[in-house]
Amino acid sequence: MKQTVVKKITPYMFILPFFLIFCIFLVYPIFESFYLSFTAAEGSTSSWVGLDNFRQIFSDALFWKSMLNTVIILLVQVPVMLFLAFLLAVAVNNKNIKGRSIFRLAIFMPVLIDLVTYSIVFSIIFNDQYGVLNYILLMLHLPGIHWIQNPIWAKVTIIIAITWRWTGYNAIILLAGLQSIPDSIYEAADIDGVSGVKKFFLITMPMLKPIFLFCAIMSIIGTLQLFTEPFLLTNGGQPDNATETPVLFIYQYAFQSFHFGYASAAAYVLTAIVAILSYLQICVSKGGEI
Amino acid sequence: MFNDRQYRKKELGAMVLSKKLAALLASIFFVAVLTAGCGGSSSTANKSDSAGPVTIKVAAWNDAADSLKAEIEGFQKKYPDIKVEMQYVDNNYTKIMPRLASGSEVPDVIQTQNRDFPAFMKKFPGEFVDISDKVAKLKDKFVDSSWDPVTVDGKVYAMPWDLGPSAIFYRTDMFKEAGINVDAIETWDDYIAAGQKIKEHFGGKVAMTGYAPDFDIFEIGFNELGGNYATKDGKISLKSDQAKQALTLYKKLVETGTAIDIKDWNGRITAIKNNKIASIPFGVWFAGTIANSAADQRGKWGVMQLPAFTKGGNHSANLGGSILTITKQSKNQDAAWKFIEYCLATDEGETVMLKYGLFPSYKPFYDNAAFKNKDEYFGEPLYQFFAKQTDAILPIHRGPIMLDADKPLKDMISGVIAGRNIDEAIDTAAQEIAKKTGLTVQ
Repeated sequence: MKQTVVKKITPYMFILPFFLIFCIFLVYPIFESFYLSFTAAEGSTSSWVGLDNFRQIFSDALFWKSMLNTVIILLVQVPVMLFLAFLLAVAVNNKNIKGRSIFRLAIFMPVLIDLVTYSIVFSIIFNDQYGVLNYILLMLHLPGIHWIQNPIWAKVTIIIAITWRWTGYNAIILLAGLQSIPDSIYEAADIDGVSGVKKFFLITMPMLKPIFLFCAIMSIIGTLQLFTEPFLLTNGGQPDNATETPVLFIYQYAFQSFHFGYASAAAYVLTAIVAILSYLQICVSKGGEI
Repeated sequence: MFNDRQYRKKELGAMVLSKKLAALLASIFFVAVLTAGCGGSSSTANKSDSAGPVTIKVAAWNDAADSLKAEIEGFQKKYPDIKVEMQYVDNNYTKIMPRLASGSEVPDVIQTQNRDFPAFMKKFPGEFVDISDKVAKLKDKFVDSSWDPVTVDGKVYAMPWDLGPSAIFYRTDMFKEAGINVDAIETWDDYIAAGQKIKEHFGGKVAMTGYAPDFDIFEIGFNELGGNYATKDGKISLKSDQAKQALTLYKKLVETGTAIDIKDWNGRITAIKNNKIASIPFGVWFAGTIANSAADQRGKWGVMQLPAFTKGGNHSANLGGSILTITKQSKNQDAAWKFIEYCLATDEGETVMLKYGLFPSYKPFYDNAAFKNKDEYFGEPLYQFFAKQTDAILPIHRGPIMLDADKPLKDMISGVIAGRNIDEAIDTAAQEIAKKTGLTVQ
């Protein structure tokens, strides 16, 4: 009897450390920040203000500008990235390429590089004075671009950076999707005399739809939480807040001027927006079913 | 492998068990939280100051922390019973702030920038010790304006540390090569014209100076002109002619290529090392950084007065400077005070400070031989030069706004560089500061 109890408890003991840490570092902060969002907590001071923070956020021009920035980045970046990722996935799925596994590893590499490192490297590449990019432009007799000082180019810089980082990752996921399509479907189509283009649009695309949806949702959620790149690459959302993002906004309120209450409220507004967007996306595409 | 029935039986057993286990988990979690909660308060023993050796913890950053560390040896000769432990933190307060907010692991002594201290008093009320009695005898010995940021409602809560009289550090060799006469640079327009000479002479490879996404150059101009961030009765007074002029200058410096984007503090050092910039308008505290990070450029650097906005205008401005404050959490407040007093209000202490380029607010030291010494790196009596600049520095009223004003001011400048209308940018910044601080715009 005793032994069986031990046996039964053992697996729970293994997951116990995780749940302890999970509760202390995730569950507790979630509730604490929910409480904070109804207070004017600032530094070590605090007072209950009810819904005031939320009212202020809804009329905070900077918060909505940061949302708008993210949406602009998202609308350009996610489709471009998924398109590139799909091309890459098809390419490395081709049986005629030699050393496929090396290519697969190579396109996955960017995501393994530390966020901070890559942001700093990009900030050097895009430096308008001695960055390699402007050097190449000048060699081609093109005018150099103030990548990080110009509001539009700064967004472009961010888009290029996150596309570089995440395209390979999505390509690998799409590749897994491509490989999960049974050959028998293509064979059946061959027997029916379906052309290559038609096979692509009638078989490959529909079969990949749930994977695309997964990639799109993950990318959108990821982009809405954009932080490191604008923090390091464009000096905290500069210029003129053209690359300010909601998470950066929250960080600046919480940890640069210590307005914990307001920052918590902004965090909850952002979470609500992410949740609603994800739900809508799943609804629109009917749960990703074919 | 289980067969199906065995498997179900197992599952059922697990379900019964899981209820007990849930209770167990909950109680373990509860205990863990409780003990964690107790941990904080159980260490409140040992209140006594005098008995036995005590250790005080001092949090500071960069060179400032190095200088305090260098003080420890001399301090312990005088007070062998007090041990000092340095904690290196960052100057954005990200390490110190959570400790102040949570009230645990708070160091005995904390450095803040003098301009930020009133905001700390507002955001962390009751966290800092009133040292009015202790500093009463020192009042006259310090530069007058240094008491402003540490005094709240007539009481002193921190000790003024260093000042930041500003000037232009410049490369004498580059200026000579480009044919620039330093004495002829009277106004910022002259400075910009000299910048063009530098650019032309070095084929665009060297720029006059650099700017980072902060508001240092703005503040130098703003202070020269006598601008104030807030009125004495606590209204935001950023919307002013001074701010407009300082911003116009900033825009001109960038647009003419006089100042190039050097990204940040480290970028500035890299630019200096690689001979990319010929001068830097900055506070006296930067002298040490130049000497330390570009040792091979020894003898190639000089200092000159800041240019004025108009001929015969004010050439002096203050940029930066810090304070040291004792926390209420400290169990050794007297020991902490002894350390601060030794470092900042004795000649021995200030001699060490000066080695790190920290310009004293403590006036008696201005007569010390060490202060009058010729600086080895710059080849001239550097501190006497800066002491001359301090006389004409105009006071600048800030109020408790600087932690909240940091981002709006940076946004204001980057907006103007990106092409925003100057009046509009100032207005936005003033509104934003007002919103964050709860103060009104004048």
